[in-house]
Amino acid sequence: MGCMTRKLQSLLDKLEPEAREVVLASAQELLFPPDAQIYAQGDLVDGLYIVLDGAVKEFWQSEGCVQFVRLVGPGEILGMGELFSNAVHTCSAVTLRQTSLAWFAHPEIHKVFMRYPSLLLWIMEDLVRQLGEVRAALVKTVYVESAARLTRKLVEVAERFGKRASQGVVIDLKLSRDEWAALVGMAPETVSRVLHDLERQGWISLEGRRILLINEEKLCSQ
Amino acid sequence: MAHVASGAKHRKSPPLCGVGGCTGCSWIFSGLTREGQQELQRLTRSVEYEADEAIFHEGAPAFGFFILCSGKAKLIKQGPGGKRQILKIIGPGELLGEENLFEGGTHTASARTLEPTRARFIKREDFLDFLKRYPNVALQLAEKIARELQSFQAKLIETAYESCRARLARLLLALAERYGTGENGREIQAPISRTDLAEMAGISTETAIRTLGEFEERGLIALKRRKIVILDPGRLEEIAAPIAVETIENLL
Repeated sequence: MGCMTRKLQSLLDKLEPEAREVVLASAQELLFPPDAQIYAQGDLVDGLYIVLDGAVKEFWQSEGCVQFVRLVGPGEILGMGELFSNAVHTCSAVTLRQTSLAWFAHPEIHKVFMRYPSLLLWIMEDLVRQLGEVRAALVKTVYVESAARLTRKLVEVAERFGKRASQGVVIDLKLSRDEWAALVGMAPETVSRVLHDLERQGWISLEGRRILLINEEKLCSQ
Repeated sequence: MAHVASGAKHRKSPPLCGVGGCTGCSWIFSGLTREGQQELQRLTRSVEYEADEAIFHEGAPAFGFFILCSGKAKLIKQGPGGKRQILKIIGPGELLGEENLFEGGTHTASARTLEPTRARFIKREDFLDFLKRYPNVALQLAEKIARELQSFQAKLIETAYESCRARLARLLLALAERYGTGENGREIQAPISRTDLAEMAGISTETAIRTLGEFEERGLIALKRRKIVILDPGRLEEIAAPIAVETIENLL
């Protein structure tokens, strides 16, 4: 059994056996280097992309403005919104590090959903989870002080994507200040100010876009 | 900014699902067979609420799903220090409790009626089972949740970047678009208080009152007892730009 099949099987254990077999039989593994485009905004939706390893950012562009939408990691599905409502991708997806995906290619994914409802419900479950996260983030954006929000997000991203090093945990996703701002829901200038404050206190270290979390205990207590 | 979901078209002429004599039920159930309609009717029970009555509380165990048949309700989430944020306003045909559809657990927000409201309640397990047998309904529900997710993502961006005036202007336009009555649909009949408006826009009540006063002074709106009239939608739109009104509409 291949590595992709093993990883996919554990992700798909909630599916009815027939639906699981269909996905496993036709899914292909795609490998991307860092900073590679998986699909672009406006491309036709051509199937289901499940992240097996790595990290991907989703963003959309309009009138010269680039808006970061979401950070997607292992076990999560790309382009969830447009799977149901759009024939084309409303966001672009670009890798942040070396990434492997399971691609279940299908030009008419709706027909597969109609035939295998457990696949559809599995995707809906992730969608509902995301909805809960965005709602919670909205309330935090309004009421929780910006430094505390960014600190919590740093800890959360480190838990999902960080690499343990001798001095602490490294976040090497190379996210820009604008992208951190969109993730947390604050202005980019505030992100820069808070990051430098945290660095001055010796809790983190900044090397370009690479962030080293040095004092996790202090950061977690914020 | 153009991250706009295309939900409005579904609301203009909601099809009937046939449940409980509902007159404006959810498009999510459109296309349901007669057999499916009867099954849904059998699985759901009618619940009625007075104005300003709790449908469920944040933190309380979640047992199922509500489909609003008539009336309006607000979905509220508590912030730190007891502060509140109104996540969305729900009208006929809208659903409540989708966040607990898969895992049960406790409600992550409270729902409270704004006016006398009638809903249908369905147990979580029954609804999940129903969705498996009627995947067309599941697909339409997924589309609805996906659009709502996009709208919340846009609102998150709006909250981070936009001024209080822009947020309030956008909210008034969206409310008029969704619930407006009178000439050109410009009158917002308000069971929605100033505090509600503030909690929907994510600003303080004092700022909401001050900004509404400023809008009235500039001739953009008229404030009447329990009613707000949009006098100059063009200038309000200029203040509300650049996020499209349709994006926030999905949360009303």
